[in-house]
Amino acid sequence: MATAVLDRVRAEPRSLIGPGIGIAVIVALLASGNTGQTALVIGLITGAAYSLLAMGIVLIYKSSGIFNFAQGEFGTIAIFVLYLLRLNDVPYLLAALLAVGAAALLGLVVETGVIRPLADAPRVTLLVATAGVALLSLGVQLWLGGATPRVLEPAFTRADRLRVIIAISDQRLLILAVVVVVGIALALFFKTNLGLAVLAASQEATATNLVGISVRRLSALVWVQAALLGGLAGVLLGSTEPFTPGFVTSRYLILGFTAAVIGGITSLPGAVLGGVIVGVGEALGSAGTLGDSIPGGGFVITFLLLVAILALRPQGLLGRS
Amino acid sequence: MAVTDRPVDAPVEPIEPTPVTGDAGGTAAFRPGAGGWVARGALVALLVAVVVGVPLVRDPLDSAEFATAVVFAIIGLSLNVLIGYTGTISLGHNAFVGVGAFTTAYVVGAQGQPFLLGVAAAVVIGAVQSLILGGLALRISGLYFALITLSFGVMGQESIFGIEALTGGGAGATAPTPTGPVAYYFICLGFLGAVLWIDWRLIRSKGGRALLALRENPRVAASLGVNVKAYTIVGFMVSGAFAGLGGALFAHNAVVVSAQSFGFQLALLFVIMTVVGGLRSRVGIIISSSLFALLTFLVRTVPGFERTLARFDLLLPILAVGVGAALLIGALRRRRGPSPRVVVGAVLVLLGALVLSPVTIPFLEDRLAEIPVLTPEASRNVVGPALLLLVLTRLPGGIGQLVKPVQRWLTGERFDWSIGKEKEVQITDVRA
Repeated sequence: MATAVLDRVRAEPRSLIGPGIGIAVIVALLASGNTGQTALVIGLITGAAYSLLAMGIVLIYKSSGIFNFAQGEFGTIAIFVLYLLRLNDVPYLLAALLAVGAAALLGLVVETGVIRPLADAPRVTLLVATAGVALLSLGVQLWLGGATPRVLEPAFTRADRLRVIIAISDQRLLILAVVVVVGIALALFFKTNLGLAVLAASQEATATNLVGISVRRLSALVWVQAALLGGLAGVLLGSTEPFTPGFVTSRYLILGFTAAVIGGITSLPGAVLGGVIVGVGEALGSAGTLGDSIPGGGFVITFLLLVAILALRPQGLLGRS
Repeated sequence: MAVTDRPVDAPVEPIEPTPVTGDAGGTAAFRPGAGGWVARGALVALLVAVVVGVPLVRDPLDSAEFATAVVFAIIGLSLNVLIGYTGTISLGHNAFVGVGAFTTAYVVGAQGQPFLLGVAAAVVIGAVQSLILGGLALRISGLYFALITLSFGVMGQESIFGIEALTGGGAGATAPTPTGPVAYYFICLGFLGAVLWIDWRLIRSKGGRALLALRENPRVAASLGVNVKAYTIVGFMVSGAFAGLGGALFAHNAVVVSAQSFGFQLALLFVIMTVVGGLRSRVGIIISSSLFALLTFLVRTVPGFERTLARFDLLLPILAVGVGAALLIGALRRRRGPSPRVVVGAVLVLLGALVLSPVTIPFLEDRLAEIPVLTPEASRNVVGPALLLLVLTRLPGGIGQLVKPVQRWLTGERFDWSIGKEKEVQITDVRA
């Protein structure tokens, strides 16, 4: 392992630049005192949430080349289902499972109703279509539920078990753990025969059909998977703030996308890394003098990060060109 | 809107035998007779009467709504230049429009300069900011660029439009309406005419053909001597200028604008109305944009519309029967065995019919009665995206496809339904 890394460094010295910059930034943040350290911790925690969204986005993109703007709505649907079930005193675990199931069902409906008829359309058209799905879902939620913010209880309520500079709630720890588990599970999935079939279908749909693999079924499978992931994200993130219709989309989706693209849109580890980078950037932008002088400074930082990284390295940090 | 009022029984003219030269004969020789011209003239007169007459007849207060419709049409045309002509999608048009709005609010509202100067400034600033983004689009294209525009739009809403010194922060900035509401509507209409004329000249010129060529395939266009970079930038600047104009007119119509007026959802609404209108169809985009702008107003004022929407206990079962029947018929036509489609269709028809029938199913019908009324405000949020999905999957040419035959008929050709049909919504960006 170590020799392999050394060989690669010898063959390609430039591969040291990226990790070098990363380590330098972390050291600088740690050394810059309280602001930097707090931003690092907050960034890691919120970044985990973005990673969760980003992984679902990567999954869809990797398997079909679609930028899925409906990913956040899978989460919001799950939040609403969980909330309604909890109002009727359904046990938390069962309610959460049903909520994630509802999201998966939505994923299946979207795949059959919108994605399949447009299978051969240009990818930008599909982007517009998934954005339409998100808007429709948002519109229906507004219509049926109104715009009132609602509060969803977290799975774990204790907030001060762990203290690293700031108190980290158990729910946040759960999110971190889920990100790790899901990341590993998805990476393993793409090593299985089924996962390889999904990759094959994304690269050569016709050839995949010819060797007897149903591309249509694979597409349905991937969308259900992504919706499951989105639903899971919703169930976990719904309790972080009072939620309104379109909560996951408006609060997490755009930064999740930014994270996925920064990390390299086809790379699962990249999605996690991108999430952390976006989280730290956002925390830095909202902290200190910058946050006081410009409203929404966090977003300015992430926008600049996105433009800079795409301009310098269009395939993203861990993506392959 | 009034397009459907076309007289269906326009007289059929005899075709005069003309010497056919090459393969350009036949249809080109068709000339409508006197009756045909009268029918065409009547339709044009009716359209003009609606556009000019209705705001004059109705309460002057309603004119603000009509002006919004015109402004939305300008914005739709602006987005059409980007998506339809250059093949680049913008999900940040809320910021494009917002920049124009805050520019004129600053020039006219804060500095006290005349209205036209504010509009001119908005147009220039709009073109300049879109020049910067266009430069970026040359390096980053396709889906990535879509994300950049999205990000730019959100940054505008969250950050730039919140800067107190420029935009008045949360309280918003004021841009007074220069004239009375009815006169202002006609001013907007004049600007729309100018935009239409520029758009038309742009596409008919060498530059326009170059733009269309590079949308189809930038590499081929480049090899044929089209300066891809320059024309992409031109497309962006024209779109930005239109958007700036739309924003300025929007601001003077709304009087007070704040960052909340230009949220991310507005950008999506702009994309929806452009695609539903039919890319590259000016008439379709004007119709769909003004429809979306007026939807709330129409639901509220057209007699019976609001009450119909409120009867959801009737509408939903009817919809269920309709969708179910369509599924069943589609499955029968293909003569396949039982499939999920058939089952879903049958269940929908059955449920819908049961609810409509005198037999009461307490559980279902109580739930139906609990569904909140679809308010005029909410109707746009639900109807808009639903229409978008329908257009994308079923009617790729959008409204433009529907009005194209009428358009051709108006210019003195024979009526032909098959004109303007498209196979798919072409947002071709081969660089994606």
